[in-house]
Amino acid sequence: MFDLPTRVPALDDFHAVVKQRGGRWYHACLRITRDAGLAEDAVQDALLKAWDRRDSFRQDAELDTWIHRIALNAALDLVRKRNPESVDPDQLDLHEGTAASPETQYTRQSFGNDLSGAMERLTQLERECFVLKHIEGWPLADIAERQKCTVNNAKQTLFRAVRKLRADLNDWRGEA
Amino acid sequence: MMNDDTLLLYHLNDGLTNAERAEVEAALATDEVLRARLARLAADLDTLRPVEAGLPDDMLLRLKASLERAAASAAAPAKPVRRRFGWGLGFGVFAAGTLALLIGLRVLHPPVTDEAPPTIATNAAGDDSARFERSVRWYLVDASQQLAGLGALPQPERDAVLDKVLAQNRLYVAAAERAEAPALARSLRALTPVMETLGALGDSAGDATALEGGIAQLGFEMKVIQARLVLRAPDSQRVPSRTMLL
Repeated sequence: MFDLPTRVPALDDFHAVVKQRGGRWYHACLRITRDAGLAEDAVQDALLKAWDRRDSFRQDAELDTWIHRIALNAALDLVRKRNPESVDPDQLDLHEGTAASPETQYTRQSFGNDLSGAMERLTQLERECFVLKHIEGWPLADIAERQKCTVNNAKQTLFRAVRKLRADLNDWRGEA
Repeated sequence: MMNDDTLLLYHLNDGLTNAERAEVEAALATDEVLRARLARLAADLDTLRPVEAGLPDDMLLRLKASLERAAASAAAPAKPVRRRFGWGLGFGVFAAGTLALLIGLRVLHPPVTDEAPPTIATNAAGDDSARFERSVRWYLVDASQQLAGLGALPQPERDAVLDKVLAQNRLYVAAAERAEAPALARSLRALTPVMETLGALGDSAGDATALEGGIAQLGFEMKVIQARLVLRAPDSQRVPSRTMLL
């Protein structure tokens, strides 16, 4: 975990946090954009925005969390502006395990490419709702606000995404 | 019967009222099948959860370089600019600087390989690819010429020229993306913020100097892109690749 600065973060703090958490930001953005270039742009945007606004950084927040949130918003904005290019499934981190049990890790590794395909089959909105809720842990109310829809709409979109992904998961397992 | 959507919201601990949560908990307490369904849902979601991977070294270096430039820029005296393009101004300068640095490194230290240099990939093979590359080169030549004359133009005409070139650049970025030439698209996209920076400059002496510098920077970067395209253009026999060396 990144140590919480007790002052306006300095350049060294930014260097440290980008080294420790940059991968997480990048892969989170990649899951949104499905485009490596856009994901890197989003992270760079976020870093520079955070640097410009470092005086307003709240001491009760973590620098990592703060930049992560800015990066996700930047990714969502970028993907709205451009049609993302297709992403090589190998660029996704969905099949790289570290702390998972051997069985879970094996499942992730085996299912990784299929899951990438399954994620591709989601609509952009479904993918965003799923990623923001399940992976990023955003409250549904925040997702609805960001997507400019009602909370109920965000729920329904999330339901659709989970149904599709679980159906693909079942197919992969050879289950009905 | 409780549906999976309700179980999902219960599992995510979001989107249910207190009464609805209590109802789910009461059902779970007495219904073994429901507990199994919830466990299965949780396991599926766990499988669908990615674990974290690191940042590629080259990307880490680029991000750190951007930060360094931002810090260096913040240490320099602030220059007032028209807020025509918002936050993209600063980012543009750093992105362009980083691009120039990377191009410079690539020129100084070309990769050692026995393979033929990769060509820009397009959806269409052969002639279509060559036509597209020619079109980009013509655009770069034309845009360079238009930008070179910017300093002599009054503000309104300068803005008009910049708007036109910016619009053209966006079209070529989109075209490169359609042609599956992501590196070319990225190189062209990196020109945009520099152009936007120029568009935000006023008529002061300091801005005139910044304008001159920005035009020179754009000219250099456009020439580098052109050079890469020209190097590939004469040999139509090269094996197409899906990447561009930039």
